[in-house]
Amino acid sequence: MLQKKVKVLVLRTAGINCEAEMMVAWEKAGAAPELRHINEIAGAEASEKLERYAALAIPGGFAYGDDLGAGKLLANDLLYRLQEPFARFVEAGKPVLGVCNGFQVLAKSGLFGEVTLLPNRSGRFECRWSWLQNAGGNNCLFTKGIEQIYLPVAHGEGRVMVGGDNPATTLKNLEENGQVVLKYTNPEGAAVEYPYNPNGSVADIAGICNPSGTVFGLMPHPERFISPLQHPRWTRLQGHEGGLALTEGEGLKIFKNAVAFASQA
Amino acid sequence: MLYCVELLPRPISGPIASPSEPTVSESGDPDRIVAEAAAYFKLSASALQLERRVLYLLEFDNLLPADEIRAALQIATPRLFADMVAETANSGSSLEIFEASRPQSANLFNILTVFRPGVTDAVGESVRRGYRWLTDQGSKLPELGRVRTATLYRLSLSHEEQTEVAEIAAFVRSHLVNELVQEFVVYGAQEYNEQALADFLKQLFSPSLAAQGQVRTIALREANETELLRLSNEGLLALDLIEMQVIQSYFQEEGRDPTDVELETLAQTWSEHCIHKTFKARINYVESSWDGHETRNAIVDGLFKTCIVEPTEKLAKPWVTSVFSDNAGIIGFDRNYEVSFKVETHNHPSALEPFGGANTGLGGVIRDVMAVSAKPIAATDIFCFGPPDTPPENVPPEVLPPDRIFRGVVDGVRDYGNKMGIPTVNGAVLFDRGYLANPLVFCGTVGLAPRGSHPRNVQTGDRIVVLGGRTGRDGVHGATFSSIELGGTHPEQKLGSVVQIGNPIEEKKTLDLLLKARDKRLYTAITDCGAGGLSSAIGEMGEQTGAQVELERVPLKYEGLEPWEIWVSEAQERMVLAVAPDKLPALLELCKIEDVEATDLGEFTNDGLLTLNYAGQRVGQLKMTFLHKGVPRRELSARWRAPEPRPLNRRAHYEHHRPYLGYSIVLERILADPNVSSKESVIRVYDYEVQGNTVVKPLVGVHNDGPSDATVLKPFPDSVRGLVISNGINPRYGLLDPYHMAACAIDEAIRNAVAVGANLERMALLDNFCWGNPKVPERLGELVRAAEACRDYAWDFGLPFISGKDSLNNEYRDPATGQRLPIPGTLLISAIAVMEDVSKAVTLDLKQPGNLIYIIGRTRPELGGGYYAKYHGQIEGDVPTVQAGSALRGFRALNKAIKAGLYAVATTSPRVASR
Repeated sequence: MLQKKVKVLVLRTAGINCEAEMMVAWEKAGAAPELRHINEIAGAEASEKLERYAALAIPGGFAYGDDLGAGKLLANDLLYRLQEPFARFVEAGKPVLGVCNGFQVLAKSGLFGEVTLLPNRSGRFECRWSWLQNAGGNNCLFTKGIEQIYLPVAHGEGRVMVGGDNPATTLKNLEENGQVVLKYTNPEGAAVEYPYNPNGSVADIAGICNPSGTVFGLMPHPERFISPLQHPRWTRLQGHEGGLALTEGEGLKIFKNAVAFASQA
Repeated sequence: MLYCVELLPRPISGPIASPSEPTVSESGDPDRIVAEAAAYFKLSASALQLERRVLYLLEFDNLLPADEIRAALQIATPRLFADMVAETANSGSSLEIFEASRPQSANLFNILTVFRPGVTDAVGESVRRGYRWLTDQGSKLPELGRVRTATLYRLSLSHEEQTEVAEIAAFVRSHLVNELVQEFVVYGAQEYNEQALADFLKQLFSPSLAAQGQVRTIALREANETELLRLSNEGLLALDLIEMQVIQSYFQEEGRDPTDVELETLAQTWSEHCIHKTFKARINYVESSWDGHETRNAIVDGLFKTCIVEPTEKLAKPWVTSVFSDNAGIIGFDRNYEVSFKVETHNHPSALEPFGGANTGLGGVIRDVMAVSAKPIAATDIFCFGPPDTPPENVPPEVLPPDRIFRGVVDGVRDYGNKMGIPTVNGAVLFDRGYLANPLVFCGTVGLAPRGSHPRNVQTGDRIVVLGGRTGRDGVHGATFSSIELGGTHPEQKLGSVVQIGNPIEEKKTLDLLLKARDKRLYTAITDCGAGGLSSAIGEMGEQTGAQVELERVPLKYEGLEPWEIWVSEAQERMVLAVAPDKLPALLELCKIEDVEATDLGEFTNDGLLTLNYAGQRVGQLKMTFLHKGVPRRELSARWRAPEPRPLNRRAHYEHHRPYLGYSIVLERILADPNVSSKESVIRVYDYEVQGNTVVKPLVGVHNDGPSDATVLKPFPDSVRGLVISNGINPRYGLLDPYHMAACAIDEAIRNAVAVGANLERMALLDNFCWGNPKVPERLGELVRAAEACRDYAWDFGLPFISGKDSLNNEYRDPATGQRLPIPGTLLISAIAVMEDVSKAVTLDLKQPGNLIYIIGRTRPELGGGYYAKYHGQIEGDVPTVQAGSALRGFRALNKAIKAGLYAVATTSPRVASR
């Protein structure tokens, strides 16, 4: 018997703009993504509408122009328009993914605690490819089985900063809980300076999850490395070992992990 | 009553402290401001401190109890305004907040910067939206009125002596604000004045003009020639005497004088920008040899017709779907999809306000692609600036320094392109003294749409629906302004209105809506509001039918616009649709979901008239035939004299007693020329990966930092069919001969595309001419030569022009001396090609040791206009010429080799570093 495809809600609003590649990524991972405007979900039937989905993804972009801070207004939509139904979705342990602006939305909605994202240390928007290392073990459902991964970043406000009464303790707790999922590295996997850490994130943090590992936010774009042809140097790898013998982009694994998790749930 | 929320960065202590808090905005980088301020005040950077605070000024009804408002601010501040992890916040009445931050010590200054009243404050609108959602759900908060955002800089100088506030103001003017769109106040401990501050804040919220809704009638019928010209000049109409006379006789026949609405409508529709009078003119062209012998004396029967349209029509490529009639050129992509491409310039606005000018330049060309019902999938940007190291004394009066223009323009394109989610994938940056007063900003957009999904079928009875942004006074007269030379001859308040401010998120919303409306076939025709605003958009759409518009229905950003201003305003992010009455409810329903404002302005008629009403009063009525066909054809004269043949003097060095340095040093210096050196710092601020289609990126090579010849896009995940995008431009050759400059630009664009694997089977070109004043015969002569090269080489290479544009009058007249500084005549050629299999693409980086290197084609001693000559302080020498026959053979050979997988690398020999 054919198993039913996992239904994923790809949530958008004014200014979200990475929805096309996000949809492709979920499709290639075997899910059935649906692209919906927040105005189609929020309202009296929000609870029933959300319950139809096994996972939620917020793509990158500039939701509401990043006015009042990157991700802030869409975070408020989650908190004050979706309210309870959204909180229940998270509590139920369904996978929630936020990429780039989506990560900013999840952070600003408080799902990772005293964590926020600030303008890049360089003072500039940066589009470049980054080497990343899994620093959180297998706590996060999205990164199971991934040790290293190569993905593009493209953002102006990706510097992870932690707060709280004692920021150092906040950071230590995040790391001990396995919530620091991805860190920027150099190609050899060592800790790094700019430009390998493209934004000046504290402790080279690129991605964070909630304590249970079901909500994952990251600045790099896994949905932009689904096909080998998206690799920045595929013309160099052609015909060589590990080159186009690669049948898929490294980012796809993150979506496949979520689909596998959701179909077992 | 005005209230205020003030945000300050939270000091973070301990092992993860952050030394400074950089921000990303066009003028907000504190590190740079500190460095610039230090240089300005001749202090070390450590002797100077700068703090930046964000302020939200909030208007509440005077009748509301203060306690209630304060309680609301307590709730809204952490929820809406502040990032409590990184910021602290103060809230209260605006005067309390300003009192608390008033400078208390000597040499501490507060600089408060705001957008001028009437300039779009997108963040202010977002605050109202966000506050509404805090209100609707849960906590009940008092109603919020208007909102303005402001920035408070606190600058402290450790000077011995007291710095004058006027000195600070001078720094703010030259480095921190652009007074066309911003206002500021500066005060130290001495100058702090509560009442003056309150008045300054109050005027931000008061409409600049009371609503008049009045229409003037202009006594045109009896005017003599002098009066006609005066009317055109004073009204910034940019119409010449013959055109004014044609309008005069139209109204004499009508038996009445025109209203201001009518005269403005004609001025916009007949502007150089909209109707390309020079490219349509009959030109008396005389060409002579360098020593003055007349070699040719001919009538050119319209450059557009003879040089652009005719070769394209003669080539009759079956895959060319739409040329010269839609807002963008369209070619077939595959059986199901078609591709559109348009490149526009936004030069005059970028000269005055680089960020806003470039921002709306890209915004405008994106709308051109939306106006052919396509989804934008890529953007291009080509910039020409004055040399970034130009000393201030060499910058003409009233002109912004070139590095500030450079920074502002790059930032403006970044802001719009990134926020729209369109990858900026191809471009170039050039520097030349000729661009000091007239920078050039070319922006292009590529679109993709299902075949047959773009309707062009206005029906009588269809509703006229405007959607997207609201209309303000911004950009009034943009179209006619672009037909006037810059040079400080126009009153500032008039120029002030021509600057447009973009809101990319408004446009993104409109795009999201339009693609849905297109797929549901909810409209019968569509166009964008560009130059000339509603006047051009509705005027064009109703040309075959007629249209009646109720101007008072147009949603406004603020009160006080006269009917003619509503009609010609170039406020951004607006589209006009023709909608059958039975489809209107479905469209409005979609608009609700997408948060897009849509307004029914009237209907398309069948009387062939453009009828304009305002609050029940007829304010204008023109015959569509006169509006669109009435403009008299211009007669212009053009001259071109060949330059004296002077070979490149490679011994110039010895003659100037300078030591010969050897090729290595020469090469290093050429590579260090800003025209040739790496543009990585520009490319990286653009998201060239968004949408996930960019398979040959603008940066390639081992370290992803080498410039690519061209970009390859793969728009569908399950198909290897793709698009190649490239460009060619080199104004330096034009200093010797514009004909060969144009030929080389075409050849370069093609070669760049061929080098990554494109073939010429399905390749199309776009032409963008930027020139000086075409009424100067020498300038027009150069233009004729460049255009004729386009005609000849389009034919020889067998490639059609599918779209193009011209921007003329890029010429500065010094207000004091009357001296003219025209730009070097500049032609940008953009190329787009369909590639059958992008997995066969090649990149220019050398792949491995031992590979052989070949050069295809013959190298001739053509060093004229090149960088080797420039290094020798010359432009002389033989300008490179293009032999189309042998070039074509080379292209085909390379195509075959790439297809057979024989090449690991291909590249062009770039004449100027295309990025």
